[in-house]
Amino acid sequence: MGARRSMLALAARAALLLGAGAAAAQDGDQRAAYLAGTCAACHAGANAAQAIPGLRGRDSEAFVAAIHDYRSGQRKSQIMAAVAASLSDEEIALLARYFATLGKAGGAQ
Amino acid sequence: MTHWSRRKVALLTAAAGLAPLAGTALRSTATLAQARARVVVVGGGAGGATVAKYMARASDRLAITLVEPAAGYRTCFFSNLYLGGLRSLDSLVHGYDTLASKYGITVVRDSAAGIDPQRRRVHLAGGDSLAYDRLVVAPGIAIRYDAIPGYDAAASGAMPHAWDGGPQITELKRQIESMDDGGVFVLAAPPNPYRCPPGPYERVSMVARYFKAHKPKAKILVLDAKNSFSKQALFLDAWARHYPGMVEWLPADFIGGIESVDAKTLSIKTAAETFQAAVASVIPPQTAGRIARNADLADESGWCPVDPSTLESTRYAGIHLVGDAIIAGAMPKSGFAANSQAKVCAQAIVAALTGAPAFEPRFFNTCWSFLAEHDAVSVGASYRVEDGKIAAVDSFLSGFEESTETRANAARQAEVWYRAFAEDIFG
Repeated sequence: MGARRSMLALAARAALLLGAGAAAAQDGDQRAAYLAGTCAACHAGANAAQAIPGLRGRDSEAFVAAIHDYRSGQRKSQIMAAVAASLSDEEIALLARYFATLGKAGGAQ
Repeated sequence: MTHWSRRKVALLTAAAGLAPLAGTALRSTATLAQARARVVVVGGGAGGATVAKYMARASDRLAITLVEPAAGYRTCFFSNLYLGGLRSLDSLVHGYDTLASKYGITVVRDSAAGIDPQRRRVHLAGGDSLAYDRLVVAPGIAIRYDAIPGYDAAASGAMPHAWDGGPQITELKRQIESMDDGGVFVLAAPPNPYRCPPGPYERVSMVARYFKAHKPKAKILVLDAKNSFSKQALFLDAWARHYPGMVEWLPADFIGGIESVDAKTLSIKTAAETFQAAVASVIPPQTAGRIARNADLADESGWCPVDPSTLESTRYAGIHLVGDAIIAGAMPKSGFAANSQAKVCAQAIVAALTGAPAFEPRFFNTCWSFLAEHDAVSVGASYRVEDGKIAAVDSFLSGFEESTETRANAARQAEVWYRAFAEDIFG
């Protein structure tokens, strides 16, 4: 995110912050951004065909299904099983929304 | 939870109001600089560069300065692949241009010479000093040149450790390539704790890969300061499968420990006998990087104690540490771990300086090791803070019985990981 763009975005948001709903949404965004830090250590870009797929723009339902399949063991990956086990259902949903909108207008940057 | 005090919202609104007048928000830097909290990051490796980037991403109300003497960072991780002929040296180097241009981080090419924790200033080797509200020290490791008799800095040129990202890796490769076929390459592996637990054994695998192709009569002897090591069964199995008869590993109890080395004759004396090498890589014991120890951030163990939820030093307030230099509970000293700790550290500093929320710390680590070109394994875990320490929650290790295809896929994953990881830190 460019410093200038984010400053303007922040300033625009500042006016909304009095609304509790907006604050809660921002809290979810920040939490998703924090949780996505773990994903970013291995997943980059949007290419879903790589040995470690990119997650940018990934369909949220497909994301949720994949994480649940890793958690249940239906899909095999030791690494992703440990990641999936560390996430609550709520966190998986937050991340799904985060990646689905990542890089799109109005979505996470 | 209140994220924004009235004062902070007013500050932001004022800053935004200035923007149209000044033409751009960036041109009002002088005004903003007074209001922005100053964070200085010492060390531009996997830990320090990640802290700087993630702070900049999370808040533009911080003035972030990254102090790093090198023009680019050469990763220790994957440097064994250079020894094995699978990577160029250039492919391991990453610059700081994007951190400066995309994230507005001030990159200062200098090194920290001292820290004044009372006045909150970092003194640089070049003579300048930088004031900070929060300081991050990410110095990596320092090689101990006082631990093995005969192994000082001068001797390390003849028996390269090649363990600190410096130029020794090219010297080690040169020595290996100019060794006569039939020579013995001796690797002395360090005691715990040290940077990159599986690293010495991946190095053995990659040198063996080179020997198999170019010097098939060469032997590799591992003299270990330990009686067991990371991924041991996987490495021993791989050496027998890929490089039969080439590699011999001698544990501490068998050799009785390394007593001294002689850099002139390339011999290594243990309690049991003296081993003669044609090429030797001696990886000595390590401590936290020099600046951390000079600034009294390390305890008597040589490593730095931190609060695991914020990575703040337990010895000096306002100073945070990440990466190989810290005492990190169950986490190993790895680039991946440093990057993971850096994200927790970044959110803690942003929370402390801007009032943004901080979430429960999550840590993760994965270390891939190459056994052969298309045979890689991984070890790792998820971690949380429990009873004031970083504790492993779910850990994993590649299976002994994995198929060739699974191992080849792990090798492909490791290559993709490297690109993604470098982008996460520097991109």
